[in-house]
Amino acid sequence: MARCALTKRILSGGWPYCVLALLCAFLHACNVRSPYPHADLAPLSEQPSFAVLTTNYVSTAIALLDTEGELITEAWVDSGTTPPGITTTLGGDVVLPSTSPSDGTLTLIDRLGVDVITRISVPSGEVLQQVHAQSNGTAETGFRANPQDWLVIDADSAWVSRHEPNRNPRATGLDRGNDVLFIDLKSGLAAGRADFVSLEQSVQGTAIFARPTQLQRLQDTIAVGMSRLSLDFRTAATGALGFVDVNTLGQTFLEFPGLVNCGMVAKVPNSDTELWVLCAGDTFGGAEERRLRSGLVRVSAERPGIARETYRMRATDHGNLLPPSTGLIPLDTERVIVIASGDASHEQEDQVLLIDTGNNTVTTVFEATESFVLGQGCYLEAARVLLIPDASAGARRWVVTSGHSLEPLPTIDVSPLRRLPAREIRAIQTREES
Amino acid sequence: MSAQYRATATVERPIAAEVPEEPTLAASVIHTKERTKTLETVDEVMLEVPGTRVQRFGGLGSFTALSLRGAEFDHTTVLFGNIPLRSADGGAFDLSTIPMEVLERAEVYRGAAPAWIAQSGIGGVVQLSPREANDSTAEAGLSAGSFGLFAAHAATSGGTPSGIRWTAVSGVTHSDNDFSYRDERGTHFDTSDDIIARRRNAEVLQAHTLMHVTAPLWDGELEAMALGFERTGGEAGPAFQGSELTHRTLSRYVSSLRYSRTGGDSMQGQPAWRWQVMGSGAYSRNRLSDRLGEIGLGQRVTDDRSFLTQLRSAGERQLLPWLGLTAVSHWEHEHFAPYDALSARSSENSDRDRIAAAVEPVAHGRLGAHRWQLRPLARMELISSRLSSFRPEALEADSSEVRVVPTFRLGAALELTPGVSLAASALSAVRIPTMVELFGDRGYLEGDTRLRPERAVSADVGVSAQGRMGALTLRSAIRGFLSSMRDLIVFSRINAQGLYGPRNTDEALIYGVETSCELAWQTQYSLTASVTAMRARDSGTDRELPLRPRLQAYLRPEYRILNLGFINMATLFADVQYRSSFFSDVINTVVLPEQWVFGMGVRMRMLDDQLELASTVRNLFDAELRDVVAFPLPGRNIVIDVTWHAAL
Repeated sequence: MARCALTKRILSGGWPYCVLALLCAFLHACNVRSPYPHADLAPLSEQPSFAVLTTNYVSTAIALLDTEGELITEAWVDSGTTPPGITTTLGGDVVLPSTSPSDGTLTLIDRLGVDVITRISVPSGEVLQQVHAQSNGTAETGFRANPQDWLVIDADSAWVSRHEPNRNPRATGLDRGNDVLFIDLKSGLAAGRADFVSLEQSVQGTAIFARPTQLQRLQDTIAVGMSRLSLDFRTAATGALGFVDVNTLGQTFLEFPGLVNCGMVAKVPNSDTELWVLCAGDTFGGAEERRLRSGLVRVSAERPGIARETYRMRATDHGNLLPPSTGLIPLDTERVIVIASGDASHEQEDQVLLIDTGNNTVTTVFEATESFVLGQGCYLEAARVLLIPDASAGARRWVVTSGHSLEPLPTIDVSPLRRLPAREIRAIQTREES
Repeated sequence: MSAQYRATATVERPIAAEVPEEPTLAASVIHTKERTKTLETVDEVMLEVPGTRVQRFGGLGSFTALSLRGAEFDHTTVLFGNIPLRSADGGAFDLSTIPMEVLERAEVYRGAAPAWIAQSGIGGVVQLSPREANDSTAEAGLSAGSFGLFAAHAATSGGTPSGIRWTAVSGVTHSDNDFSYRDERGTHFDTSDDIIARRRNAEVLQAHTLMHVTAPLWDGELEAMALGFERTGGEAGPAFQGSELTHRTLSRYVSSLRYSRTGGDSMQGQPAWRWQVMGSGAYSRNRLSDRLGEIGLGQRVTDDRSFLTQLRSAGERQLLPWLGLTAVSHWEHEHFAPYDALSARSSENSDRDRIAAAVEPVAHGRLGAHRWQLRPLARMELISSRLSSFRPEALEADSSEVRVVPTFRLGAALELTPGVSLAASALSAVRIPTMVELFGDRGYLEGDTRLRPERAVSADVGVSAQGRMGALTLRSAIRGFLSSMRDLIVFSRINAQGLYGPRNTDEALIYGVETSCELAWQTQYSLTASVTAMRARDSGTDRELPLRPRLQAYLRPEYRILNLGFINMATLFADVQYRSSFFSDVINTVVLPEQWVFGMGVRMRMLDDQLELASTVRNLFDAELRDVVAFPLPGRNIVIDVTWHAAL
């Protein structure tokens, strides 16, 4: 009725009104609207089991899958969920925590430059908290914390690993970076930090920083994967794993001579004392160069302060094996899935490798059609389903049989409208599970 | 031929077009002297030109790129006189490095460009002409404004009875650029920590000087020109991770020596032939100091230099009453010398030679009472490159290649009635890969020497109208355009270490309508307007290309009062820019909102035109402006200037 009255009024007003109305309609038509359903964090009708990060490194969306790996939504939240400001809702460099938060949230780590961790309640879609990986005083400074991982310690605290050192000599304590920052979950503010200055060294005149990466909890100890790289990532020092006592904050380290860039860590399933550590080799090199110092290590830390290697696989021990570089997924105590990233400039495609430490074999489970398309996946032991993101196809799925073989299931297109490449898949814990 | 006393000659009015010598082209000419706005910049002038799109990254002196007809920013070729201006890596040219004071006029050729200037671009060509000596005057001016703005300039021009004319301009500008902006600090769902922040490390200090001399020589004219530009200041970086100490210094020096002659029996009021030979050199030095690794990948203290030398000859001859011929040849040598003081390994230099030749017959005649002109152009470019990577792990990846790039254009114009013409053109254009695309930068970008040039085929058709009806003067043009591009180069991530590499993948289709209008009523009232409506789609994904608004409009009414007491002339103006919302990402999820920007100002000449006072308020309603996410633009700001003119 109101629209009808408005139309009559415009028509009765003569040509000036008509011109004005036409002009308004024209301006309206010239404004763009996203062609997809709005990713508005609407409450979900079912509990998702997996979060899939899809991104082209400029725009990012979070797709959700159910227990079977079927698509619930291709974008629960995305870069355009809120109007852009100085940043977009989600930046182009987002990752999911290596350990699914036990508080039943979907947690997103917006990395380099944005430096914000967002905690979203599942399935309600309520944004519980957005936490800065810097102190409050660093708005518009040159420091980029580059948070890599988020580990909830208890109901009151969480730890964030920060990859970048702050080279500004005037930086205050909480903004020195290259550390693990302790977050008070009640206030959302930084409450302390553990730095790893003792791991800093010089290699051929180039300063090497600890560059803490992934965090894993082993009883009262937090294991911290150390990338130990220079500021430009081109020079690496001997790989290392740090251990920080949750109560005393005491630190110990375990070095891996001959291996470098050992930032990725994952717990051995059903163990609170053993870890897998993936050493990706030298960055920016071709496969030949990366292979020299890449490998996989199993570490046992049965008692605080005492850790030791219990297994090592070096890529050079396996002929022309494409060096494992990402996507560390333990299947059980002896078998691990890793992704060997290819290199477009050398026409090498990505591979999914199954490393069996029991008989020291490496099997190529899957070979992609392109390079840098396979990412970090996850394994749901209860359903025996392995999911690996393939940027060129979606979520690739396998069933792990009792005979320890992998049977492929149909691949799920996780971004049918946006066509965003799938890059990471992690499980979402429910509060009951935790 | 000698003219007789009181003899009269009839000169036929040219076919209606913005550039009368080139009626087939879609062109706009902006005279850059005696503008109403204070401290106007080249990108602001471009608002009057339809089909243009400016992208700014901050306040005064920040990187500013220009796109024509929806093409990429590096598809615009910018010339200073006839000297090509390029960034050291061959990417988009920073328009903010050309102060308005050194210019006489700006000619914008959308799509095709005249054969005479021997340059082309997929989007088009912007030719910035250096300031000329029109009379014997001197002027000095001071400006001050918001955000710590201070500017001073002096200019003088004159001539001798022997015909030598000269002009010299110098100026210095400083701005703190510390404007405020809303910073949500990356937490879009939590407004409690939002702050009004101030831009830091964005201050800029720049100076420029121009010398331009012309002298008669051997029945022709010798022209010498030299421009120097220096800028130093902070490199603010994106606002969400602004820098504190990163610093950049840019030096640019260009000079040219040109000799031209015209002669022969006049035909249609035009000389029967003209000929020109020119040599030029351009040197630029770009120093970036990022000792804390605040932007990019790691610490850098770079000092990149590039040299461009050019020789060019152009001739035009009326062969028959209905046929003329333009021929241009052009040789260019580019040398790029990168250096990073913190790099463990030294970088090799790169060189690129281009030889281009173009031939354009110009046929003209009449169809009944309607005059017509036809201009087919063929251009051949030979590019020989010896390029070296400056990424440490790819230093051995040198490349030498020779590439032949033919392009064409066909332009036609038809006079419908005196003062109204129909013009159309079709052309092909090519952009060869830039240094960054071929060899990457020192950061996350890896190059690929196998890249093919980007190619485009474009066409346009439109009507121009110029005339006078009583006290009303009108200049107006409307054109529809269509451009199909292929092998567009895009960067995508190529390996686990976060490197990005370029690929020839994208295809795009861009079409639209552009119109401009200049109306004047007597001497008091004038109106300048431009409107561009376009659609730009990625043909591969069927999504809209990012950063291209569908509609842009600009309107500036002016009112001039003469002899108001001691004020000889006062000009009041208001202007409004409209830009529709647009996608900022390739998948079309992030929308930058529509934008209205209002401004107003006044300019007064007094004391027998010797003293000039002016003031301009930009962004009157303090709108939150951004051309790209992460780079806020200044809010409301005011500039006041005073200029003293003296006749010599």
